[in-house]
Amino acid sequence: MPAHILVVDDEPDLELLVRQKFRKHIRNEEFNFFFAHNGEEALDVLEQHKEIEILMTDINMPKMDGLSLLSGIKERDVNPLLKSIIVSAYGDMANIRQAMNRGAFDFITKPIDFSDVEITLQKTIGLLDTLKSAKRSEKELTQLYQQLHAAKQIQQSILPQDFPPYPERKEFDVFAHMIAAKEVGGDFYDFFLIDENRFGFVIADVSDKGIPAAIFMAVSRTVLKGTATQGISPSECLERVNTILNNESDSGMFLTAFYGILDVKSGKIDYANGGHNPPYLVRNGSGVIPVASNSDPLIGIIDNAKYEQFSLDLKEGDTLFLFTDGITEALNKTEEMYSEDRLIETLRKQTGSAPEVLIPSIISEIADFAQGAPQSDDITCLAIRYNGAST
Amino acid sequence: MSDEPLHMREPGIDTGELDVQVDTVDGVEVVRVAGKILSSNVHTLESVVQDLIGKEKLQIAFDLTEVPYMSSAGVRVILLCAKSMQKRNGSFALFGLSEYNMKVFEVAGLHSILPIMPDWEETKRFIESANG
Repeated sequence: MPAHILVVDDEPDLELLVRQKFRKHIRNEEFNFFFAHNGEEALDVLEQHKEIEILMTDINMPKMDGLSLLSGIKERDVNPLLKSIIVSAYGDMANIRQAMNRGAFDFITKPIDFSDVEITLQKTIGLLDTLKSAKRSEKELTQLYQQLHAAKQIQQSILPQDFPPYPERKEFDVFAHMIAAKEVGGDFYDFFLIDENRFGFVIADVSDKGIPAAIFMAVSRTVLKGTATQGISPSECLERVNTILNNESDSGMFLTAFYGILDVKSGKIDYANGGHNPPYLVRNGSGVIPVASNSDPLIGIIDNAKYEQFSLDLKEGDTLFLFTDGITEALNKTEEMYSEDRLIETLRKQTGSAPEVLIPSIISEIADFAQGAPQSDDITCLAIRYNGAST
Repeated sequence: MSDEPLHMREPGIDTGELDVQVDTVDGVEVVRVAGKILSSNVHTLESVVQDLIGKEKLQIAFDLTEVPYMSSAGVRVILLCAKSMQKRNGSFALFGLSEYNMKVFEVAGLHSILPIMPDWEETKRFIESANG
């Protein structure tokens, strides 16, 4: 593509001279010249031909001079990249300074030395190329960011969002929330009724961040739910999920997950833990304790990993609080972590609270703690309160 | 906690550089890492590890003495290396774990699966015995 150049001079012979001196460039389609004879005419040409990227203008002209032209282009609808080269009498420093102050890119002096004009034009074209490629990169980046943003929204929208999910079930209350970090990441929670009396729930955290983690999260969530809803035990479920994901993953992607099943008639929870930080059991009126579990391996990377099954009993008013390390590792401005101790303290104050009260209060407590420090990891939590078997 | 557009993100806690060096000591490639290993800088470590794997190196140790913290991104790269060594019958170990990192590996159930050594001497002995 040739460079489109507008030459403005009231001297009619200049057009012939330019066409003559640059005939090879014109023939090779390197340069394409337009001509105007005063500032007003030049503005019209620039508006009509937005492809013009270089303006080379004399200063002294009838109707509108070169300096007014430089000011005028700012108010007109011309190519935003337009670069101006001013042509002035040798030694006319006052006008040259003024032109530069009005945004001229460079200047050449009269009498015109065409080899200097060529160097100046090539230099300007070089700069324009750089600018255009930067613009293209910027546009591509913006598109990529928009796609990432869309991916983040899709990712969040696949998690259960409607609370209460089972308004007709009086035996338990459940509430969950996830605040995604700026980058797409891989926390998720999920829950489902396996049958009339068994409520399955999971919290998980996928390694690393970005698009690969987001894809792995979507796959993991589907595999986990598909496996769990078959009604098998938590330990067997994690073992199967581990095998399926291990066969899929070559990138070293993995997730940590805690999976439990609540028997809504008795309050008994069976669970298994694949490398996830243990949830807290908030006993109604008597303290907060981490639930016992083995340090069984994270999921998706170790061949034939085994997941031991544990159980605990929820009494009326007890709450199980599950979370990801985005909570305990939330940082404040002095890079201090929110920590397990602070979380336990907050949970203790909330003993007996309904999940839909407990979770917002923890989230707001962490926001207060962070004091506006940027959130580096997803913050995800899930709480289940047992209300006793319905009568 | 705000949800501003991604390109507006300010440089925050995720911007630290990671320093990764490889020394060959007694035939073992010792990957020395310095800094917090985070999603935002893990690529530095990942490309060094991929490079060693690509060069068919079969004895790799990680020196994490200068790593106060690692996120799951760091765990992922270490597992990637461990798995690759396992496949090729190579040997692999890590040492110099901070208390925090040790806890990360414990919670993840990896402390009993990965050869985590107290120091370089033990690491060397482990790698030599694995090869002998």
